[in-house]
Amino acid sequence: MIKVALAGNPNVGKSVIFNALTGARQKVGNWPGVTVEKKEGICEHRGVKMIIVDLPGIYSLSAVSIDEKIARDFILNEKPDVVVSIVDASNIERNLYLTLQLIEMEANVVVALNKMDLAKSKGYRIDARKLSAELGIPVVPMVAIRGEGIEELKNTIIYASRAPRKPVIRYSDGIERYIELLKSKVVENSILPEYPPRFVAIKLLELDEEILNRAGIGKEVIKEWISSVS
Amino acid sequence: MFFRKFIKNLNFLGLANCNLNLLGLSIYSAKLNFSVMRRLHDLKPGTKAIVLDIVGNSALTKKLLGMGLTKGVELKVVRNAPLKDPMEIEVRGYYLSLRKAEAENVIVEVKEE
Repeated sequence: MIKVALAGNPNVGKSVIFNALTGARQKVGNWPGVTVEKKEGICEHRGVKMIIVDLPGIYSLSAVSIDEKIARDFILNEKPDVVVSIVDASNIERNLYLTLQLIEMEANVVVALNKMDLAKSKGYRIDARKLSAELGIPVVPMVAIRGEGIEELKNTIIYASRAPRKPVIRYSDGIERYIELLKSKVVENSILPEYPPRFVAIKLLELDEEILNRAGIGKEVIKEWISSVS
Repeated sequence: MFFRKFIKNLNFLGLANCNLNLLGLSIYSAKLNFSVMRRLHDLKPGTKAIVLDIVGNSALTKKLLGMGLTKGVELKVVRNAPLKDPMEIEVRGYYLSLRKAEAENVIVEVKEE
């Protein structure tokens, strides 16, 4: 049984894809402790059973809102085998931001490039193969509302679960120096060892409140660490 | 006209003085002709501008950055709701509505009015 999470901005066709994957086999409940709906379903394809979890629609994973926190915690703590990042092809620039954040969390990401018809009518010509090569992860073009691409998405999820790809997003040299430094501090002091060290280092550099709190580190400490690089 | 803008900017810098980002802003004013520097909530529909900086508390800054309002990105004011709050802008190919209090934290350089 492989665990699959669906992530995406609001209004990208997440529910359509969730319904297409799971059909009638769904369970609706709440995320523990909060009144945010949690939908789970089962999908069987080519003899492989998949449990599909629909994450709340979010724009980023900064853990500012409760929805973002749920999505971030699920991916970091439950470690799904595959995270499907559903992207609205007609609004690709904003949508890919979340995809990059998912990659940065070292999730095993597959991009479902939905609403390809709408993108085309807007005059966009998207080369899914090139996008896949640039991102270093599989990209499946879809028109989910008409069922186009659903079978290919299922195949890709199974394929990705067997051959996880976790590309690293490189920043400019100036920023990489700080990330490297903080990463070594993270490893050395075993800060949040259950999470990927590079991800923790980047969040510390952002002075992300949530991660700082969980790690029990103050902002001054980070500032002091970074001051040694110049 | 120039004089009015100048006064406006003095006010603007006066406001900025209360802000923690004073250092950042003073660098901008040294580099740029600051008659074009404005806050987003001041702009009229149809105005095109480039984002120079986001000021204010870090949660809001992160939210705005996350919505694509990063330094250097071009935006266009589409329209205002009655009483100018909220306002709608176009950025990165989509429409974004912002409260006036949020838009106030976006420092922009006007390209075209």
